[in-house]
Amino acid sequence: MIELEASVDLRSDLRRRLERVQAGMREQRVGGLIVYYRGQHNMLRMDQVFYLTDFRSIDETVLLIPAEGEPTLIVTPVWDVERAREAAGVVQVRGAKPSDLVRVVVDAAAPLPRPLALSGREIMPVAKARAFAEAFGGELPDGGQIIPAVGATRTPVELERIERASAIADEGFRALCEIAHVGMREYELAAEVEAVMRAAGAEDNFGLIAAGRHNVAIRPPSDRRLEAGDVVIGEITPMYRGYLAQLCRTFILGEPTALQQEKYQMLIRALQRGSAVAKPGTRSAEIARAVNEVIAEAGYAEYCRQPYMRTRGHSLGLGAVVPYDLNEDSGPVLAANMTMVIHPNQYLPETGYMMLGDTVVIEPGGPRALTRTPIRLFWKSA
Amino acid sequence: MRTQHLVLKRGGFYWDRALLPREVFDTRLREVQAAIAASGDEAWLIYGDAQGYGDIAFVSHFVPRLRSALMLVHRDQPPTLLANVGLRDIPASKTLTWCEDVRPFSRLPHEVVKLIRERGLEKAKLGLVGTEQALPIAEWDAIEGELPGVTWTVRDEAFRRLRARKDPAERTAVRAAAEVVRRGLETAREAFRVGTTMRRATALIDRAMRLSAAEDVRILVASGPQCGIALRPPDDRTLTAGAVILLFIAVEVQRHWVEAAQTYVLGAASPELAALAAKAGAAVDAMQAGARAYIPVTLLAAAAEKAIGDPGLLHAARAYGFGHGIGLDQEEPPLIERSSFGSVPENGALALHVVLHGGGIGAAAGRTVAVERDGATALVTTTPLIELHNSLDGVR
Repeated sequence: MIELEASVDLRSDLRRRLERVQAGMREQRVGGLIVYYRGQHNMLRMDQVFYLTDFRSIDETVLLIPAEGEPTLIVTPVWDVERAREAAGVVQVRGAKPSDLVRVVVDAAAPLPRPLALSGREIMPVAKARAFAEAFGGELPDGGQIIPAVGATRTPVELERIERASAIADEGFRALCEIAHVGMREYELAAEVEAVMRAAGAEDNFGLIAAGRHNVAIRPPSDRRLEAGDVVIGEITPMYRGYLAQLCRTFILGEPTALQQEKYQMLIRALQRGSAVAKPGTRSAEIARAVNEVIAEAGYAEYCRQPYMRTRGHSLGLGAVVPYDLNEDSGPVLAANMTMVIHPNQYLPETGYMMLGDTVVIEPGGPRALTRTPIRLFWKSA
Repeated sequence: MRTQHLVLKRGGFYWDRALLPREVFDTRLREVQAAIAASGDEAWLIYGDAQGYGDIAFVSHFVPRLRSALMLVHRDQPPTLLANVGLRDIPASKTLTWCEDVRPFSRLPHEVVKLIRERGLEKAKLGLVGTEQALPIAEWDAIEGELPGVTWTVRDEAFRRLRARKDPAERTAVRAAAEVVRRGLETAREAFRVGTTMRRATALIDRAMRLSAAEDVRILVASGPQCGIALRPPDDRTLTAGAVILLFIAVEVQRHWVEAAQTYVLGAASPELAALAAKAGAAVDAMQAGARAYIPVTLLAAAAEKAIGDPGLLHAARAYGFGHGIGLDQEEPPLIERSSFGSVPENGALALHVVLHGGGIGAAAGRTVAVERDGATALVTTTPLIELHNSLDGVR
């Protein structure tokens, strides 16, 4: 496994993130920010606590950030506190039993400068949110956008990790092509791909692999056995040290038909045109428009909507941050060092659902693909 | 035990009808509807998410793999399942459940309000299950705000009583999950080798269990100096000769969980390690020997503490707890602690574990047991300590 981060000092990188967040707090006149994370790790939600601490929790965590000075991390379960202490961004840490979390937070928040704001209320379960409100004498103002505003662009450490995750995704797809065979169950193929990526350094994976003669959409692997002529679609999304990269490709167990080749070429053109507009200063909606344009030109305009596709891509790295989903009505403007996946994944009536997508980083001249798997339709003899 | 939640449940997702036939859910639905009628409510909203789905899976067999789901169970009408998926995902979602009316949602409040109005329940008495501990407050505020005429009552306790009566299907499913854990432990004997990394070794264990149709796999470990500190997710530590390894496994198969824990050493065990592992094993044995239906769980915790004895070791062991019920949720009532008030359910399963850290070394022992009226039987076989003589070149 390639060891990274030798070139970038993680502690300095985390320190700069904290300083930017604290500057944002002062700008918004927030004295203390309480960041709640439920521990339900999710590709579509930013883990704000991890972003500032490099600690990926087992259960609920709360980070208390003063506008100036060192944050305090509260960790559940209590036996995980020593691991938290080892994390590069953690200076002060306390453990709490899950049932005691609110009391410990209130106690630790006492020295925080006022006014306080809360990030993560929207994901707090009902009982927890009520307990917080009661303990703090009412609902705290929402501070949920302070960290995402800072975290929209990737730091050097983050970028290195996403590059490594991208390389692992490439390895995962290579394994898929090698291992897939007639008679294998879908979940067995997914298990084999997962094992290769884990051995290569992946700690988690938003992985979907499905197969069929005519797929309606990507879906979780089932107990169905692969058959000759199956179209295997894969959304391979390994996580490396907290950061995700995604690779979408299509693999055929058997010789592809001329029609499959032709339609896949359309997806390739769509990816190329979408990527061509992904530059700093461009609205993210332009990527979706460019992709849809190619598909519409081929006569599939009516398929550029749900349920035939979901989105033309989305931000990726540490969960969802700006620019979120890439749709024709997306508002965010692209900036250098944003990372995202661009994927013109599409259902077509003749071929079923086919997938193609790469993780890219936005650079001044345009996007640089971090996943390196060739952009083509893959197949092997059944 | 608490484990690290994954970004997606991504194992083999299907409904094994031979293991859990449709009739199981027909019976459960009738029981839930009877409980709704007894409560005086018109319907219950049963909520679950990828982190805690036991309540909703109990009735529907559906499991949210990424986000959430909610089932409206009416006292005398067919239920509706709302799943946080796209319209295109509905065909795949329907293969996981017997429920015929499965609808997608992107915003839960909007779809719940629509459903309640469609059923004419805007002024009804409705029960809530699973919402207090899992439903995001923002979604609840929106639902409650849109339906001022509804009288809401939390029915978690009534539902918990239904789930506490473990039916034969649940016991069968837990046994199936135990078989997958057994394969994981078997693989561990080969995977842990001098010269390999913890990440590579656990990748093999994870693979073995996923190849056996595990839906979700959680692994916690410690090796070398970590054994004296705490369990953790696998990392890139290289395993060296003489290294002690603690392994904790939790596996979900057909929505049902089983756990086990085991201590290994790469070479010959020191007397200190042998003694510590024996203590952990004895504490688990003591809990299993004392486990029978209806006894207070505090007695089990006391038995474990007596077997451990040493106050320094007890401190760490108490932090992990000594176990809990297990089944459709990885951690179900009752928690096995000295301060717990629960009792052992008949026909249920208990995940028993003891994790000790002391003197720079550690030991972990644990197994899931099936509890009957007059005793408990192990579903997974573990021994206090396994000495392994594996190296990377395969020489044993």
